[in-house]
Amino acid sequence: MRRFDPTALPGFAFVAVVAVLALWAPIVTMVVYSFNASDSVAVWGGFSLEWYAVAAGNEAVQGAAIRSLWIAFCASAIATTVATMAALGTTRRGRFRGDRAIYAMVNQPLMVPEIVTAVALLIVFASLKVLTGYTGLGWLILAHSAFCVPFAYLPIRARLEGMDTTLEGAAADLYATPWQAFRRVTLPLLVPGIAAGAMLAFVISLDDVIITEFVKSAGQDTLPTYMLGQLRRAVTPEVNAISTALLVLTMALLTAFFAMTRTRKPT
Amino acid sequence: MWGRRHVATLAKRGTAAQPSSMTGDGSPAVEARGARKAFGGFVALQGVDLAIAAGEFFTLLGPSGCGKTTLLRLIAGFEGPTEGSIHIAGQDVTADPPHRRPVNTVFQSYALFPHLSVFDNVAFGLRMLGRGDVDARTAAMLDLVALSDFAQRKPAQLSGGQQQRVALARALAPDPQVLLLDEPLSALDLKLRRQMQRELKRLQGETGITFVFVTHDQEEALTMSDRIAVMEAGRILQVGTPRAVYDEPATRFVAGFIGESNVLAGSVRDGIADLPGGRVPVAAPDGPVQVAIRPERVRLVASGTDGALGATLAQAVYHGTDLTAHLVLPDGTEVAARLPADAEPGAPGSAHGLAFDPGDLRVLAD
Repeated sequence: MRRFDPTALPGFAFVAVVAVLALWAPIVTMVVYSFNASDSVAVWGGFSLEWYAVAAGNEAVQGAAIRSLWIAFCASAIATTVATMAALGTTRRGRFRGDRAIYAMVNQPLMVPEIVTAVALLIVFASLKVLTGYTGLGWLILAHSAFCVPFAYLPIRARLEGMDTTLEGAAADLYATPWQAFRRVTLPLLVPGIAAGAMLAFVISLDDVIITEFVKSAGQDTLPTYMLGQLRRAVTPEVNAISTALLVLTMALLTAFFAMTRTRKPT
Repeated sequence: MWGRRHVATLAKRGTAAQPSSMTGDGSPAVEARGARKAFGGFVALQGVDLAIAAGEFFTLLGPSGCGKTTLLRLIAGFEGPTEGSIHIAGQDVTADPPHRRPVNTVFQSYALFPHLSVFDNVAFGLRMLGRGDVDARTAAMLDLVALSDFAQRKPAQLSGGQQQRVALARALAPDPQVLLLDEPLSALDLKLRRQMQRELKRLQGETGITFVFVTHDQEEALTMSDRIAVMEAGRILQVGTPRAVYDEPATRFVAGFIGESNVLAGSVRDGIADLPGGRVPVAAPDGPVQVAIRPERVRLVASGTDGALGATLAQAVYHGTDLTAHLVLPDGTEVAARLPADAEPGAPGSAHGLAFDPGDLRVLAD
């Protein structure tokens, strides 16, 4: 029997081209226009790195960029730690009552609409800010940590599930205490999963607009919320330049993520 | 393949640890008392009593699912018994986790740490024990299994046979009281397996460490063991030397599992068994009986010979070294007879007499 071959369908090439264009044309346009010498977003005025210089020299952009990276760094660190513990707890304790419920709870941010989480966090953190008097970046880091957990959790859990538990048994058999077995065997083998999870969490945090917009205090713009603010007024090629820089960073991290989750499977 | 000169290194060990062959008061190296293990509703082990002497090569033999690996895991401490207790060198270790038991395991899958070099794999146990002679002893163990040149390789860069030897060196390095081997040779090809069987046996003799070996391969069990425990359905059916379990199987299962056996059913009256095709003297009480006879103990004689069972030849199969005649008794029971290679049992359908020494007939318990 002949296998179904979608490439043989009439109009396949046309649909494929349209789909690829729809996906990539806007991105390419944005990247190209980030090198536009003209003030206008729509009119090409020749090649220039001017807008990168403008963005880099803009103190608001600098502040937002540093804030973004700092939040993403802290949030991915916290989320990865929590996710690692959650993954160990859900894969290394055997089956227990309510393990499915815990799985659902850990992945809550994937299921609850982000705007709902944002509103909920706004309400809670607004009260907490009043109660504690603290209005620093801590709240944003906390909020980011929370929604980054499932993104870090999934690759770590996958790695743990693919790992042969006999290895941990062998470590115990060779006189390793449970902590030594974890430290010497489980953790080193888990590192690629943890690194992948951390990178995914970092990218997700870096990219977040909605929750940041709701939770941030005055003067706590991250790059995405800063750009959103700029776009409300006038669209300048500066935003293109920032977006392109963000795109390059994100794609580098995601490439590393895929490289890490694909190779070096536990044997 | 493993130089004899390395044995001296092993013989010297025991400065830090107690010599393995001695358990102090002469108590068994391993003892299970009423060890029962249930997983939910499934009973993997039904109240096993077993004592393994120090320095013994002891084999747990049985088909998959008979509970032999469960028993091994109880001794290693990976599982706790539902009931009963486990003792090692006279100490009750039932409540001890694996890392506090003086036993090491060679796993079926080898379970080598993939992120560590061969050297670090072998040194792992020594480091966990905080031994001072890690480098020297690891080097000696690698020498023992002829893998010194591979010390810095990762396990994935080794062949199956080499990984096997790393697993063995790793488990022997801490000088355990008891070495547990969970079907360690099952992944090797036949030639390598034979070679490793002899090496394991030699190593066991020279180290004096008690080996508890799990296998489903009866030939492996017969060639390597000092004693064998034959297991089925969570029970130990018979414990004995290879010769004892082969020549005097206690049950129909043991008779069939170890080597080939013809099992005949009949009834006894006044010391004479009425079997299909004839009568033979049997030392058994009156009533129904099952007797076993090995194919190599059956002789073919002329049909109608006094004291022989009447049978019809179904098929003769030539094996090169010998010839197996498959015969059928009047009630349809099949009997195999192992004959010399040059025997000529005749055409299928020909009538024969089956003769045997009554002493070769084993009365089975069930």
